Amino acid sequence: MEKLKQMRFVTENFELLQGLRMVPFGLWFLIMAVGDLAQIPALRQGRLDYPLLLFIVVGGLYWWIGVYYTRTYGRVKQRDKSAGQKLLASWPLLLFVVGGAIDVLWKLPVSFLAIALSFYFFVPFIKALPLLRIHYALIGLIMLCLSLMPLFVAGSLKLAFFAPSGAYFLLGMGLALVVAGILDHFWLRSMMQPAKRAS
Amino acid sequence: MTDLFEEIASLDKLIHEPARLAILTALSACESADFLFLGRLTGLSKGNLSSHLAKLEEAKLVNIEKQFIGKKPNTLVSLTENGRTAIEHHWQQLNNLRNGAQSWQPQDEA
Repeated sequence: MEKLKQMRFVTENFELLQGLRMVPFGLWFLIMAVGDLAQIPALRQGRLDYPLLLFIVVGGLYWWIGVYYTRTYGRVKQRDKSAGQKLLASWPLLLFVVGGAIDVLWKLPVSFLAIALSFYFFVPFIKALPLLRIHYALIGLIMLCLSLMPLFVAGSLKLAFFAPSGAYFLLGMGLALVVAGILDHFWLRSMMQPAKRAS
Repeated sequence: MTDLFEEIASLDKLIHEPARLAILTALSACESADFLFLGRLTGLSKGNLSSHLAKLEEAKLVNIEKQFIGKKPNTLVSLTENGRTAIEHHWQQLNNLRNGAQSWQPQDEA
């Protein structure tokens, strides 16, 4: 029964479990964080040229890793969603926009964007229950701490999340995406059997 | 025989076979999946998977569509309406059985 539930979960979330696809995005955040910390002019916040170029490379890697997953594990077409379900599925975007807007407009000592992100990472953990995908809960928790960080460490939201010290946020996001991506990949790998020939 | 045992006896053997139950359960969670995915997920060899899919197709529980993606052949499998109803009904039966078994008490037959 448990094994069948896991198979159902893998089929339902096959695309989300292709964790290596998240890693280039995580690396992009980490490179931006390092650029910010090391004060590398080409990578500092506010620049568009090099970060955008890197982001295009990341998009290419995302596509290429997707091809690897299709060749290795096959294809799954998810069930069509109704317009209402599609609208409901776009909740993270709405949450990020609202959180970001609150941060920018009021500059409170708590980041609502980071709270939105922590909620975003808690959802896959809750959705997978009773399967314990603890890394998502941990990442959610780290994001929650990050959201409160300006209150205790940096003193103001501007210092913690925007140039010249926005590296904390970029570092947190980068690490979260890289770690979650690698763990998801190994979890998917453990669920899929090696290819067999006819016996 | 109690209702519980009657329910066990009424399980569809074609669906209840472990490999076919795994295939149908996976397919019930998506629109369609290809042969490679089903093979990797269930751990069945190509020959075994083909034979189980043929049985399910014969019973009109799945649709098998062969296509080419680029120059490579690709076999796409999806549940028919019958198949979707059958696997949902089967899982309902299994859940009923589990609940029934948990509350079952042996009674004196005398």
